[in-house]
Amino acid sequence: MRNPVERKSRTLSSRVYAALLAAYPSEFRRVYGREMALVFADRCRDEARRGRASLLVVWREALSDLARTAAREHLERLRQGGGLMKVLRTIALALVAYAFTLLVVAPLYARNVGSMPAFVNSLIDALISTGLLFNFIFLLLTLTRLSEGARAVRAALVVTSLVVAALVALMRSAAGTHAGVGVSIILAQALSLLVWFTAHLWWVLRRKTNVPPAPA
Amino acid sequence: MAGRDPEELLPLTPAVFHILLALADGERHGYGVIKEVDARTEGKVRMGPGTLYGSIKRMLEEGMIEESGERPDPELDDERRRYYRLTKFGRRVAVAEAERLSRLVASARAKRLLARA
Repeated sequence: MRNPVERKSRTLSSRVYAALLAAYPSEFRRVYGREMALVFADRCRDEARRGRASLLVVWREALSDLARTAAREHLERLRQGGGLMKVLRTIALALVAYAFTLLVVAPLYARNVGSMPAFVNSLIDALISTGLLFNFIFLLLTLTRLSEGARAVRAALVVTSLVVAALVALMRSAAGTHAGVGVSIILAQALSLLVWFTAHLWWVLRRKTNVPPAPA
Repeated sequence: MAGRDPEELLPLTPAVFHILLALADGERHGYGVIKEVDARTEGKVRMGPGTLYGSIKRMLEEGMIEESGERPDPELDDERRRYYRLTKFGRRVAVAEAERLSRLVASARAKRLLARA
């Protein structure tokens, strides 16, 4: 009855299942993870008595159960914390910003690139490049829940500024440009960062001020 | 919880109703619930750990069940397990759901979809 091979495969199964529990939200896993692993081990033990094919059935059922319920627990956690709306609003902001950059700013830039003063050219160029980067970092921070709201906007500003500063420094050292051109690019980039920072901050603060006051 | 109307929670999901039924005649731990459901439905309903504990979490939040402590099951290994039991409100919810299903079955009989008992 106590076949060592069968026992080994059960132990391995239990370990793999315990690792797969990482798919659940951490709070759910903390409360129920140990019990779930025990239940899975019990089922493996009972089914293994019927043969190897039964263990495969246990796995098929466990994986389908895990996929369905882990997704549901994540969704529920987002819904309870109002997180789902935050994520949807962040995606909406990202889409609006990308659409504005690609459909309005970029075509304008392409049409008038030759006829505009150098600083305006640099500014539009900066608005497109920093806009895409700023927006991407803000989206990434919010979706991974590393940071949210105004904090995410500030973090996106810091990261984008660092990237832009590094690129400008690289461009200046590589091209050996005159100081005047460098200052114009730096000013354009700084202004563009300010524009995107203000727009994102307005967006996240506007959401807060839109919350109706609590009844007296 | 005493003043709450059980009808507010109806209809229950099949998993929640099966758990209520499994706990109707005594407290059990998670795997005990799964085995009871398995035996009662002759293996037709096989509840996975995620479905079981997801439902248990919601039932605890709704006050339908409560934990009755942690201790080892003498039939299994020496690992300690969490036991669950029905609350009074949980029992009322189970009764309300059973009555709702019974009325549905009566309607099916009246429409000759089921043989008369």
